[in-house]
Amino acid sequence: MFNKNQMTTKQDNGSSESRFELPPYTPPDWTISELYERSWVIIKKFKVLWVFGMAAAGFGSSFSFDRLSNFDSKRFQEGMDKYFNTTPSPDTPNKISQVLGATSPDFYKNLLSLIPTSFYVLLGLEVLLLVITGIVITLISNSWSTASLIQAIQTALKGEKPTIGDSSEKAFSSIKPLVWLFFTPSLIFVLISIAVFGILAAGIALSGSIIKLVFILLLIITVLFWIYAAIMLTLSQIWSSRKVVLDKAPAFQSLKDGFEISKNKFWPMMLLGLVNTIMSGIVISIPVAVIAGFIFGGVVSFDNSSATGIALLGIGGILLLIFLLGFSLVGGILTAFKASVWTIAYNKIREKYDTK
Amino acid sequence: MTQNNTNKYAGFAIRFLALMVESMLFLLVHSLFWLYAASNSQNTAQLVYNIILYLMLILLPLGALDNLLLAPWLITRFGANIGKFITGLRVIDKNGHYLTFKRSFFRQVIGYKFSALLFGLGFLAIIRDPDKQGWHDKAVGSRVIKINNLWPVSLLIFILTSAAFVYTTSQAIQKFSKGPAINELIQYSESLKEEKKQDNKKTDNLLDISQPSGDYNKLYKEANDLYSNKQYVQAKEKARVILENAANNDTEKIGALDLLGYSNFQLGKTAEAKKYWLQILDIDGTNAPAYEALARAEFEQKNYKKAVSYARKAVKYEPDYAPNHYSLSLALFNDYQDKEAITEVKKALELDPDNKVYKETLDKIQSGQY
Repeated sequence: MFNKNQMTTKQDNGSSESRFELPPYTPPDWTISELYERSWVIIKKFKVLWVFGMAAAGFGSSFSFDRLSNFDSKRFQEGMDKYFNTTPSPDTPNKISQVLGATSPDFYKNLLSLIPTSFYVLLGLEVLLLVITGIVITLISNSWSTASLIQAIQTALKGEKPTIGDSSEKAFSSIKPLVWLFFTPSLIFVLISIAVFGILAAGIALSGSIIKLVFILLLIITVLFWIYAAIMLTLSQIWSSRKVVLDKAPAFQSLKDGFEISKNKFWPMMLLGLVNTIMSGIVISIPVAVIAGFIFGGVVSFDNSSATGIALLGIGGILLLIFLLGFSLVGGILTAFKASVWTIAYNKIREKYDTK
Repeated sequence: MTQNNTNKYAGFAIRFLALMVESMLFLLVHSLFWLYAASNSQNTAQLVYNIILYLMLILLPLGALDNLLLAPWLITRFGANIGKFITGLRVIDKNGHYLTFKRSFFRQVIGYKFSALLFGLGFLAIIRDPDKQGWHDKAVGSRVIKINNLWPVSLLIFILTSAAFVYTTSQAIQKFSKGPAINELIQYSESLKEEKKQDNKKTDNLLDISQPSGDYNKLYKEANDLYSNKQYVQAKEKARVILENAANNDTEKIGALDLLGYSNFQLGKTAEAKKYWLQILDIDGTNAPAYEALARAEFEQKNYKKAVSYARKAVKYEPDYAPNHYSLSLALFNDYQDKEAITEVKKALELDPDNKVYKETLDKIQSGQY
């Protein structure tokens, strides 16, 4: 019986000796069809995942003018008479203004210059504070919704019914590490990118022709490396967020483990990501194409037959309205589906590539 | 505080009422400021000042502080924000205690956003939920209970505050639409249109403006001499002759009209003088001396707002002429725009630093002697 794992050559004395050995067959950690099938089952069954999906996808002198009693206009009259030269100069009638064309906005400049500087400072501070608060709240809500979604998916994968309360409660402890995970590495990455590209740009702008070539070459290499680094960061964050939420691991350790997984599973991840993107594109573009078809057909046929044109435009308009109203729901379902795909994949490779 | 868990959970309607009461109370504060701003905006500058004051003291702080600090703190301390308090509701956790500040903050800020997804489906979920929990309640494990049946009081307060809000807002709109600030804005936009028209006319007629003739210069000198000797009636007559002979020469016309204007002004016929200066503007809408003269005339007649308007035009078309700035400062001061008046006197001084009258005026305004 042929054993695919071994090829042997029978010796005359009956003993067998292997010529070469194929490595033992290692099934892949996941197949895309399996991931998609399982995700589809739980997404269809548990609508609470749509809700968390939508959240994850969606989740920024005193003036007193009564001075008649104090004012003495006569004094001003004296001042006026003293200065105002009521003798018209011979040149006065010859003064023809040279102003032509657009006039400058003195009116608005005057208005804004009357506001005390302290007002602008205070207002600026308030706006700055609100912006910072908005950013912090956005980070927290994104982290919470991601953590809740992952927890809900995990509960569903265990065969239990996920609930908002249960998933949210479990997610609270993951908010802080997720905020760090989503914010800090990206911030460092952006700052380093700005610094590096800034130096290269300065080098290209300021250097001579030969050195300029060197900088240009460096720039090309840096761009390629930057693309790779950006992809690795994104992939690492996919795994590390699950590690933080499901295994309650510290953020930095999770990021390291996530990076390790991404290194080992780079091409399968890229393929899965590509398939997810294509799937999302198809889901969104089919209704958009249908609606666009109706509207375009309506416009084109309006000239020939206004009744047909109006009918097509009407149908297209109604479909567009339905699409816009349901867009956040569709977006939520897609987000939940993709999150579930990655979570199932993570469960399959859990602990396999830990750096500890 | 521990609550008896047999207390009834609050349904959608009463919670909505609590929300409306709270919203209307805050809106009333806004509308009171709108009324204040509309009543105290004597000109556009003040209106802008009041708008910035509103942003700084009311809109941004109330909007941020209520959601981020006040409501979470009240719910932690008393179990209810203002609306819920008035309506007799309390927010508790599953053990009957008030929420911690963190949970309360999360509920108010992030939880509400969560419930607002898909057209507020999270809030509407309260209707069908057995524990009357919205999504924001489920997320933090809170429940809203009724401890007192105060909904009639709450409803009454809502009706009264709504009526007050509607009244104050309508008063504010009325005062603003009839007030001086909007008139100034309208005037300004009309003057912009007028200037554009004049500029177009000027480019079209540029070639028509010719140099004064030799006869004109002689006649004008004679008229000017009469004016300098305070023989205003004779100067007027001479100027009229110049005007009749000016025909199509705009320069000569403007000169004659200017002299007629000043002569009438010295004779106390201010209204008459104004007509001549306005005729200059019909010929040349950017004639700064005519604007300055009109500003003086309006000032004489105590029409300070018009004086300001004309003086601004003079400054606009002849910004480097110190007397224009000084005229504007006088008009502004009499129109109770002290700050800008000081600015204009300073500009006049910059252009003419040795002028004692300007210095004296500035000192007196700044020291409050005027």
